[in-house]
Amino acid sequence: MKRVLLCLMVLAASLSAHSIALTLDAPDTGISGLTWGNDNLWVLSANTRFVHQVNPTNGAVISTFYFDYTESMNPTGLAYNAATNTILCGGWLGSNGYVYQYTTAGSFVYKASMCGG
Amino acid sequence: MPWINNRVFNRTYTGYSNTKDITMDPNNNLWVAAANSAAPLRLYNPSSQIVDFITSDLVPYATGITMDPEGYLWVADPVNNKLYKVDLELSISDESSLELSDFSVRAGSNPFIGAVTLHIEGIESASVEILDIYGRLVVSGTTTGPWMWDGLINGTPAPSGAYLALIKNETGAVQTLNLIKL
Repeated sequence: MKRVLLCLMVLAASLSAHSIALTLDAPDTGISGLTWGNDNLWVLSANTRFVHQVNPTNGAVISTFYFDYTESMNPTGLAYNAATNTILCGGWLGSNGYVYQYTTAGSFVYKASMCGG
Repeated sequence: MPWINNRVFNRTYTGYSNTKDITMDPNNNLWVAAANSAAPLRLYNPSSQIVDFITSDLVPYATGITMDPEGYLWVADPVNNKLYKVDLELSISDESSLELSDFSVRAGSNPFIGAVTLHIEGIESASVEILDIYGRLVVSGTTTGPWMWDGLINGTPAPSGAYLALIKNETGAVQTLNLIKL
């Protein structure tokens, strides 16, 4: 019974409602990756392979670079590394996954294999 | 590799297999984007239990997610080509909006032993999903009226415990109901 009550408490906590504070038009189609960095949003399109820096208050595109390394891999996630002020783009090709590091200006820095996807 | 050394932590989440993106909240809980589920955003605690969720009537589809320094959850919806800034705090306006739901759900008995009937009123049709405490989809179905869960999961009696029913009507509005199986 104690376990049931614990579960009930956990689920009761889930009843809190949430709301949309702001809706922005996406700057591109097929957004797969989203991250926060340098006080802005960064979005990655799986369709066009562009990375956009977006003003979070009005959705305006501040800068754009093309996420393209040698392979025709499929873009997925996006992350920001504050320590190096760089953008990390995830992608997969076949059964392998990779992380690509770019400067915020869009210059390619490094590629890391994720050892199988 | 100058910026990836090794995997410093490994946590297995059993809740969902269609994970599109993840982000941590300040309490070390993990938000998971789950595409077009009835609950496309799910929050898991470090014990892999689902402790919060956002239904598809608020965020229809979720792929990329991130959290800003103020604690807002940002979500990319590639179907509608939108970016949503989600306020995770309950507000007075949220309370009132909860009362504006256009259909209602109640359980015939709750807690229940064996089977439970969900009495769903004000719908033309609805889909029903039953999730366990880990967010795993254990039963699903569609209905145009009352819907009964026989208390089984793949033909075997479901374990005692808490379950979450997610009911989505024909307009996409979602109601949730906590169920306790004794």
